Amino acid sequence: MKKTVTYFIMIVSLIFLVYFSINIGNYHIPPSKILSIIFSSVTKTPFDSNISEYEKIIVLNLRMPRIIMVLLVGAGLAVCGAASQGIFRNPLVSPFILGVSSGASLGAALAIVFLSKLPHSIDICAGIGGAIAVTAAFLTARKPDGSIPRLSLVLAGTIISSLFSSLTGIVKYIADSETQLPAITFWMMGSFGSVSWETLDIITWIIPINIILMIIFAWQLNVLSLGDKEATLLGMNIKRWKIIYIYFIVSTIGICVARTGTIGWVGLVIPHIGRAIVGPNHRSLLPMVALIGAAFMLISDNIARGLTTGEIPVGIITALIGTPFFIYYLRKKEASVWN
Amino acid sequence: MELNTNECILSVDNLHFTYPRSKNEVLRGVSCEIKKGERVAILGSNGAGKSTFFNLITGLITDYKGSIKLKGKEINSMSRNDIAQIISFVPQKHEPMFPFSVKDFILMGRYSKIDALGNPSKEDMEAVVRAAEETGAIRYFDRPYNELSGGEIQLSIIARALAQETEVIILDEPNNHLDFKNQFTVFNLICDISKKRNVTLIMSLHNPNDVLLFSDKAIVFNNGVVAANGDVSQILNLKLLSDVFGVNAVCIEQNGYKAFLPHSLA
Repeated sequence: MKKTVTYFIMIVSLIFLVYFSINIGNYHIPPSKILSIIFSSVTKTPFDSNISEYEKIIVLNLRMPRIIMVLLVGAGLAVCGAASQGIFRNPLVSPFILGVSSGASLGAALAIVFLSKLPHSIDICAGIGGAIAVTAAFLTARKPDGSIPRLSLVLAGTIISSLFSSLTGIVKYIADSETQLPAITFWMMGSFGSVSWETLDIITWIIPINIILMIIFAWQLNVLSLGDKEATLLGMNIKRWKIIYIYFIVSTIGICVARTGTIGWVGLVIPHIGRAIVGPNHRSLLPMVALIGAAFMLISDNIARGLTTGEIPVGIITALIGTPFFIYYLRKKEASVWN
Repeated sequence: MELNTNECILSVDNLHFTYPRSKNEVLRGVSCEIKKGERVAILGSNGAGKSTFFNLITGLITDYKGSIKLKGKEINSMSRNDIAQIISFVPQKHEPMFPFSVKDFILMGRYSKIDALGNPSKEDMEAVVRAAEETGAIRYFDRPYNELSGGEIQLSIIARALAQETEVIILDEPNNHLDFKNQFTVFNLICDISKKRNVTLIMSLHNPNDVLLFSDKAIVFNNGVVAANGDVSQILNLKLLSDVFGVNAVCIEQNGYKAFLPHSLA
C-alpha cells in the first residue's frame, strides 16, 4: 500500500514537472497560452487567434520533443544503471563507469567522421562501441576462477574508458576541424539542444521498450544479484539472463549516447536514491528508478537551458549534482560498499 | 522400514576429475551411493577433494570422467532447472549485496518453480511461509537482510533451501560462522526437518563430534579417494582420525553420548 502511494506521488510530481518544464525557456510564453496550445493540438481543434505561429512552433516542435527525449534518456540511463548494479552485484558501477558510454562515444565519433552518409550509422556504431567496451572491462576484471572483485571491475571500467577516450581523441584529431570536430565535441558534452521530432525516430522508441522489458523481467535481477554460484544452484541459466540484460543495457545506452551524447552520473546515483525509497527488490526498484531518472534529467535539463541565455551542456549539470551526492553516499556507507 | 527409504538418490561411480591446466588429479576413482532420507557427512582434511566433490554433484563442474547419477540420470545431461528440482544448496556464508527483505530472499528459493516474471503463485507463497515457520525466520520475515545476526542469516538461507522443496539439501560447512549455541540450533533444526520431510542431507563437516551427533552416515575423503564410507558408529574411530587427519585423540563416552578430544599430532 505504502509503495502504491509513493508511486502515485512520483507520477503526479513528474506530470507537474513536465508542465513546469514546458513553461521554461528564453522566449516567454504565458502559461495560459501554453495550455491552450497543448489542448488544441491534442484535441485537434483550431488554435486561438491570439497565438502566433512562432509560439506554436516553440511549444510543439521545440519544447515538446525535447522534453519527451529528456524523459526517455533519463529513465533509460537510470534503469540501465540499476540493472548493471544488479548483474554485477556491485553498487559502484553504472554504464558510464563500465565504459559503455565511452565505447559508444568512440563508435559515434567514428560514424560522424567516416560513415556520415549511411543512415543510422551513429546509432549502430555507438551500440557496437558500447558492447565492445563493456566486454573489454568485464574480461579485464575477471579472475581465472570467473569471479569479478568489486573494485577490480570499477578499475577495469576506468581503464577501458580511458583507452576509448584516447581513441576518440585520435578520431577528433583527424576530424575535419570546420564541420566534424565541433559536431563531435558539442555532442560529447551531452545536450538535448538539437532534439526535434526527427530525432525522436523509430529507433528512439527502443529505449522505452527496453525499459519496459527490463522492468517485466526484474525478478531475474534479484536472483542474479545473489551471485553466480547461488543463482545457478537455484536453477537459473545465468549466462542467458546476463546476455539478455547486457543486450538491454548496451542497446539502450547506445541509442541514448547516439541521440544526446554522454551524460554521466545518472546511472550511478539514481539507483541508490531508488533503493532508499522502495528498497532493493528490483521489481519495485526499476519502475521507481525510471521515474526518478526521468525527473532528475528533466530538472537538470531545465537548469541547463534556463540558467543562462545560452545553453550549458546538461552532462555538466548532472555531474555537478551527481558527484557531491555520490561522495556523501560513499562516506556514509563506506565500509559496506568498498569491501 | 518403508520401501522408499531405500531409493538411491545419488550414485557416483569411479569418478575422476582433474582441473584444466593442472596435472594433479583431485578425485581419483570415487564411488559412493546416497539413499533417500539419509543424513550423510562428508569429511576430509583441507584439500582432500570435498569442495570439488560438491561442485561435481551439484553439476557446477561437468567435464568429469566416470559417472554421477542423480535419481538415475547422468548429471551432465540435466538442465540447471532439472537439478534445482532435486538439489538445493546452503552455502557457507551468504554475503548480502542488496538488503532484500527475508521474505523476498526466501522467495528466491522458488526460482525453479516460479514463472519468469517472478509472480508467486499461492503455492509458492505457502512454501515460503512454511519454510519460514519451520526455521523460525518468520519472526524477522519483513526485516532487511543486512540487519540480521549471523545465526539469523544462516537460518534464512536454510529457509530458502526448504522453500525450494527438494529431496536433497547440500550444506557446505553450515556452522562455519556461527557461535556455539547457534551451531547447535542450526544442526538440530536441519536434522529435525530432514526427518520430518524425509529429505536427504549431504553436509560437509569439519568437526567429528558434529558428525557423531547429527549424521547417520559418513564418507571420508583422503587425497582424492574415499578412505571410509558407511555408518558413522562403525567407521568413525580413533584410527581413522589419526590416519586421515593426523590427530591423536581420546574417545569420551558419557550418558550415551560420545565425543573425540584431540590431544596430540600423530
